[in-house]
Amino acid sequence: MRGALGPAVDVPLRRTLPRITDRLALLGAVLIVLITLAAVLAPWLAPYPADRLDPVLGLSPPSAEHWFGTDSLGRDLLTRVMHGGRTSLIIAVATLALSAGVGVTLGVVAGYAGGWIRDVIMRITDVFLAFPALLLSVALAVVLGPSVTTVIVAIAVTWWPWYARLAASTAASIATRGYVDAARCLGVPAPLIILRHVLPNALTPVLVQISLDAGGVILIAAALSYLGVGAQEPTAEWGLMVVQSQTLFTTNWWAVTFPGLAILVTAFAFNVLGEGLRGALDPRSVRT
Amino acid sequence: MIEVRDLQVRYGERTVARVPELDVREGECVAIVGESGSGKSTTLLSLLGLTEGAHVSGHVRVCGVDVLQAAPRRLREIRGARVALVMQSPQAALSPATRLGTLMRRALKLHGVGGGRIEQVMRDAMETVMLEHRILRRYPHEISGGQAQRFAIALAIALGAEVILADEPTSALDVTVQAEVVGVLRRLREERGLALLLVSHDLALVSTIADRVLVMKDGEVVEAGEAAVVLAEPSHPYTRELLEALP
Repeated sequence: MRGALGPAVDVPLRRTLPRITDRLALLGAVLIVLITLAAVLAPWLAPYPADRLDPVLGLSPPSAEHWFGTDSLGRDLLTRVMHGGRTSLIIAVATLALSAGVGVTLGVVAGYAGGWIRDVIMRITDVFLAFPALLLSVALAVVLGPSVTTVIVAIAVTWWPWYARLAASTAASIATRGYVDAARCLGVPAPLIILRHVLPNALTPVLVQISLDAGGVILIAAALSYLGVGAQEPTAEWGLMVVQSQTLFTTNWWAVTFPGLAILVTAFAFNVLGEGLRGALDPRSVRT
Repeated sequence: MIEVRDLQVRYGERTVARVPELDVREGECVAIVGESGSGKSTTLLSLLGLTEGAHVSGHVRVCGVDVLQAAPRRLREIRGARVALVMQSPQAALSPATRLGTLMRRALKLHGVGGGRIEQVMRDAMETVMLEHRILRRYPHEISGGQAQRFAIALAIALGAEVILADEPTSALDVTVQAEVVGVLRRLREERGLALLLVSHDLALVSTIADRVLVMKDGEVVEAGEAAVVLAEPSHPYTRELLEALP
């Protein structure tokens, strides 16, 4: 998670989406849909089976039969990139769901309750934030052993405190709103106020941040694979594909370029969509 | 319905409201007037036990419940269901992500109104405040300030509130809408015997609806009595000042 969002809170998402008029953001949304479709439908759309080896065709350049060429084991790179998208997107979705789930839950409780509850939760987040994220992820991944699940857990552990902070500041602001006072005046108990009034109104900036972070998670997952503590063969994963082919860049450029481009385009798409959402949420541009 | 004796609200060493005596009976409207910061709203919130961080002393009985002694659960039971608060900014008092119908339905369920009765109760309440039923499908930003204020009153009616605490209920509305809201409040008082405690700095409004009036300045009640008498022959210089400030 990079920058924190502005003070845009309690602007319902259904009022935000129609405001994404930024063409770049729309391009991002279209790209994400296409990448997701390609990944989900990979077993049916991909031209070859994911693990079909053909050493004779090893490191073939792009051609009519193999649009992206083949890797050193003769596997079709377009097929691998499509299947790799499944792994990378699963990692991104699971990591963000886990970290946002934990972070937002703790954050809204901290922000609404205030006092010692907020102090305890925020000090715990500070402890997690005290460690460099990538270093902590690598250390955890080494301890847990390389796998896709490890990547998800290792990144989520370093990611949730940011959501906790964002949700806490948003919830603290919402807790002072008239409708929260009105709910108290109606005799609504605190847990229900959090669930029905604070959480839905605090969710929009969090969702924007999630879209901004998706690209970052894919990049970190790629970095963990690159360092040998992420996904392992024969799993198709973009980061792992880059690692395996990096030495071939000068001689067989396609082997590293296409999975690298997949990471780049996906990260770009999520980022521009996130920026578009953030722009649409700017309170100065929200009609009243 | 409301019985207050020697109420004192303090934040640290600072006393923000001191009310020696305040009674509101069934079907009666009492107004608390004064400028901003005079302690009117604090007095109102203390009747619901909602003055967080404040030290509140004295005797406050609302609908038979000793507010300063009651357990939080008991207070939650009377809030909304027996004592409703109508706030100054009607739209700000409605959660922007929730449809009005959902909000009312949830409040009714919370206070034990059964599933089969809910729709009828909602329809009756909306009719009482002259709001179309279809407004319940809208979000707060899709209705006007006057509609939002009447919805807040409809919510109080639906929950069967016996007392309405109204904190500057018309100050955020334009003149014609103010008249509509005041008309609804007056009618409810006459037809249903609702007790109304109104906080306002608008003496013109107070003169049209209140039976009795308390004038507050710097947290103290400086004058109290029948509205007609206080507004016609004010005895305290501050009340005279307020009346002279009328356009």
